[in-house]
Amino acid sequence: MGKVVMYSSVSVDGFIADENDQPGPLFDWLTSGDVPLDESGIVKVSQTSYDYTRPYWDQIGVTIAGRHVFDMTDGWDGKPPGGIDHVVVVTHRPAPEGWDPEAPFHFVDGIEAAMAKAQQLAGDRMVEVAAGDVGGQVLAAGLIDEVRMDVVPVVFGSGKRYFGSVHAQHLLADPDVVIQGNRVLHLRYRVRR
Amino acid sequence: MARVVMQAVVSVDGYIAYPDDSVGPLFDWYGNGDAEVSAGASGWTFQVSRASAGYVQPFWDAVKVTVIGRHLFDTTNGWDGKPAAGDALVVVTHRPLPPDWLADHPDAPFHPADSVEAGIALAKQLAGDGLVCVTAGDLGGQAFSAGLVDEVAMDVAPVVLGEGVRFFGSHTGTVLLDDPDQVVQGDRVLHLHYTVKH
Repeated sequence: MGKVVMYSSVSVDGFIADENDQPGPLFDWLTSGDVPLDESGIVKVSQTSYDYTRPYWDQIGVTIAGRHVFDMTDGWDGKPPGGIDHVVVVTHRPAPEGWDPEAPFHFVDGIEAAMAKAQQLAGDRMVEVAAGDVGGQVLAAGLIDEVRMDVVPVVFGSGKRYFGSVHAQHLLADPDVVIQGNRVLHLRYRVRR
Repeated sequence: MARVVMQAVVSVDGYIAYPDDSVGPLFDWYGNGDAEVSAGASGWTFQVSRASAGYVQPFWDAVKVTVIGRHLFDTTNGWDGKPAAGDALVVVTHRPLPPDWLADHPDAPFHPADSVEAGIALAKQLAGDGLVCVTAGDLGGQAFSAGLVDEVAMDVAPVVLGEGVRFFGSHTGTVLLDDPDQVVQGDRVLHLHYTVKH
């Protein structure tokens, strides 16, 4: 089974978007560098962030995301973000009307089923879980191995929480990655079980 | 001109305590090392990792005045009249300090102020060109919202609390910080120090 990683860019006070789902300055580090992170040419980061992020992206086999972000991005126009092979969408509803059934998106009801599907698709590659409501549910279910927070030096004060609706204590190990980029601090924590 | 720093130990999800003010594992790093740090007038000492000592001791030494809210004053018995860090302490409160406490601590360098703005102004005056430390949480959040905070010091403990008292209190609105100028990894804590972009 592949490692399960919870991920997002996040403000210093723990928000991954504002109340209107806008990331504001959270993505500045992904557009302000001079090293292209993928073939699109849109995502450009510092060399330091590239050296940390590119190998991470290369390990991801499947990303699990919620229906909300899927709808917001129009399903990434059918192409998984970051060149990832598959996206598993946690949803109670079927795919949108007219959705290309060949697109590598999988609509699954509930986080346990989503994780089973993701692990099956990923083999021994990494499963990434988007932070927020879905990520928080997966953490609460004890299914997250590693928490990656790309901490942006900004205070939001309110918005969508990185850990979603988690309401219990979860201990992490000390971060085994602490890398300072430009407008981002990359942190990686193992979850203590 | 004194600078104002907002400081606390904080979980990775932004909480400085549980709703009942207990701190869970947030303070574990204050007692898990072999390097002693001391907090000035209070005489408090802590055994922390060498890395934490190298960050915390200069920080505490730089603090001249601490600003706290009435809630913290009441729950700590006014720290028995001794500021936890610095030479003087400002208590932001709408009520007079308790007469019994004042009688028991006639020499306490404690100064009441009736608003956050007045409290910070008084603290800066008392601090000269030193550092004013305002506790994070409700009070710090108000000072932050009012644009009175110059620096943010977060001692991040590797734990998710899920609920509790927020580092930035009831602050709302986007405020940019500079990249952290200090990133120091201790044992069960990551010390981050930011300057607020003004």
